[in-house]
Amino acid sequence: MGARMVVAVIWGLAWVGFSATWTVFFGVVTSLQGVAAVVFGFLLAVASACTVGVLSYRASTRREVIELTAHLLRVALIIFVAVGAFLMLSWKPQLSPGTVALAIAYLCLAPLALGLAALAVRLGPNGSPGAAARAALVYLGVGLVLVFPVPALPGSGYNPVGVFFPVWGWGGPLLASWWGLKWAARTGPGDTQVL
Amino acid sequence: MQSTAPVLGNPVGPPCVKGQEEDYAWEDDVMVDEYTGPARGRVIKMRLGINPNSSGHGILWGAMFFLPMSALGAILASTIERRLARSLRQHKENDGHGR
Repeated sequence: MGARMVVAVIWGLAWVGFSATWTVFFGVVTSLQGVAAVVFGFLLAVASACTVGVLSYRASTRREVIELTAHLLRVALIIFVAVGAFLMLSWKPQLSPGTVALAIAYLCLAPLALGLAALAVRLGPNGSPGAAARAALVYLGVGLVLVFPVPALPGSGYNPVGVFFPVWGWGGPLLASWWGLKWAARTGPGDTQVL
Repeated sequence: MQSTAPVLGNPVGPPCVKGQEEDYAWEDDVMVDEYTGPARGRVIKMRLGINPNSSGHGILWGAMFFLPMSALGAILASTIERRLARSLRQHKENDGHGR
């Protein structure tokens, strides 16, 4: 019970951080600012963290979900400390509370959410070996296509970068987590291909 | 002393209501309508803040924001493969021994 709650909190926190960083991105590409941005970010964080938290709690009846969540958290913390130390030594940024919060969200929690989404993909219905690596390649590949200049959408005049990229970049991992965790909660370890 | 430099963004003038553009023309050929001849200038729209239609911001923020974050995520994700295989194998073996 205790370990399962910790797992749910870690998954939920990761999605709070992931949603916070995407809210900053949404704000930059869509001019969403001020109170509207705060409300939007809050709703995004609460909705995704609650959804993923509950689903991960249900899936954590499987022992490997608990073990790998702890493993991913450890690696995320190591990456955060290493990159943070590098930035502090090379760049010497002004550290306001907001900067620290954004650094934790961007350098630690957002990559953790992506790592956990990859775990959900691996435990999901198509979780063959290499599935997580393929999903990561697709995520990076589609992202690269979208960040290149593409013509504005007919009619609206909006650039697909501003419209689709945040929706896909945030929604893709959420859908992957959703499907993978639902499958992992229903099935046993024998249903995930090991080799 | 008043500056004579042309104002590029947000020119001071009457509000431009659609369908009533012919009622006035802005100075310095910033806006010229059909009544006063062919357009010799263009309205230069400039915003303080971010233009959501700009591809440049997609590249800038994609490179600064999306790529580092997703690269860290991919590194993190790559660490689960072997551990998951080992964990699942142990789990199966334990089940096989009637735990």
